[in-house]
Amino acid sequence: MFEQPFEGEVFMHTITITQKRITAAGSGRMNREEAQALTVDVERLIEEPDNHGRELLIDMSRVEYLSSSGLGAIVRMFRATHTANMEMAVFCNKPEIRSLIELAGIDRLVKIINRIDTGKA
Amino acid sequence: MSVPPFAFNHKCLIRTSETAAALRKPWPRLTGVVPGLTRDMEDEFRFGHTVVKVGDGYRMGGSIKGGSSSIWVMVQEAALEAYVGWKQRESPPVLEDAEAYAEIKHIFSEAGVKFASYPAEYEPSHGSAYRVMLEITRSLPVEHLKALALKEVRAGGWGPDAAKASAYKSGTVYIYDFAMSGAARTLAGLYLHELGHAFHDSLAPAQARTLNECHEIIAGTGAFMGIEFLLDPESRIVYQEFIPDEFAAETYMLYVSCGSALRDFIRKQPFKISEAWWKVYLLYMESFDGAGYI
Repeated sequence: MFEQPFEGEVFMHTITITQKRITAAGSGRMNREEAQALTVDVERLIEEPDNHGRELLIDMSRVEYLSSSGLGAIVRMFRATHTANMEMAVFCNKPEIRSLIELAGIDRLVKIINRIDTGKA
Repeated sequence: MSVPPFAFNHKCLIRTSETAAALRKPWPRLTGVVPGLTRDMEDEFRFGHTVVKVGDGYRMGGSIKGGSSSIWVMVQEAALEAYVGWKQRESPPVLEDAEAYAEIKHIFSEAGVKFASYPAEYEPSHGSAYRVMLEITRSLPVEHLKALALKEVRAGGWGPDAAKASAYKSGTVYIYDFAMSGAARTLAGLYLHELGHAFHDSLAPAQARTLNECHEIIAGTGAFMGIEFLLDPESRIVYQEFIPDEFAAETYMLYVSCGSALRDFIRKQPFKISEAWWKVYLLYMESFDGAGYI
């Protein structure tokens, strides 16, 4: 009965890689397991030396709910990109999601943007 | 008997409040203890989320700016029962504690600091929060409070800088409703952390330089202590690593709440890191006029 406490869309993420950028885009509700899965996938890519010249963009524009685990995942991905000497930004155009990010003080660590510069990719 | 390379010669050791002392241990899980509580729910409740009944069902989430900006998701009725059970154990609601409120006000006034509740002069529903803050404030010497860059402590409300659980700005510590109505552990951590910013702002330029130099050495190895409140321990370490003033504020929280555990942590580091940490510790010790915490 309590295995699925939150009703609604399941979180999915897709990762696309262009010459300059790795974009990890999520959608739906980002709870603990989903946050872990996203972090694992992104960290695997960051570990690959071929990707070290790229920047990481976390696209939160289709995320409906960001849990505290999701916030922790952003911090961990920031740590991993820093180790690999990569740039990272979070694309967030929803005020309520942005408020959560600010609540956790993540905006002091990671660049939060409200539009994507497609020219860079 | 070996002599530790860096000694902590305190004038005295102060006993910290029970809620603050609890920070030195991992946050005990109530999943499996509270009926219906899942790990995901507990993570969110720890972060400050609540469950409320609305017309067509139940919602879990949190008000970020006094209700103007919030995220709510649909949940089952059982989630409300789980929340009530969790809250009852983590921070039993105490209605009315005018005594605690008056005493904090008195302690701060002795230190020349204004203590005020927002938006009302006194908020009865914050009784348990006032008590947590009082017990911590009692453990801070008045002379130390006088030395902080602190003009005012505001408890409750949302303020202009609302997208925060708490804040420190220009001599004022803000503990917002988000923190006042959540878990006692989170409130204790945030309250001490914000006072830590007031400590950081009180440092003389030479002391601030020492802190920054030591931070650089420590950050090179990531030898920070991570304590869970609001965010997971790993995230709190990352903040300390990358933002020196967050390191200063977090170390203040550790100095008061985890005294002996912090000293043990320092002793266990490699010589160079231990030395840097010891120099940092001495800055705090000086502000407490030689006093440390058990």
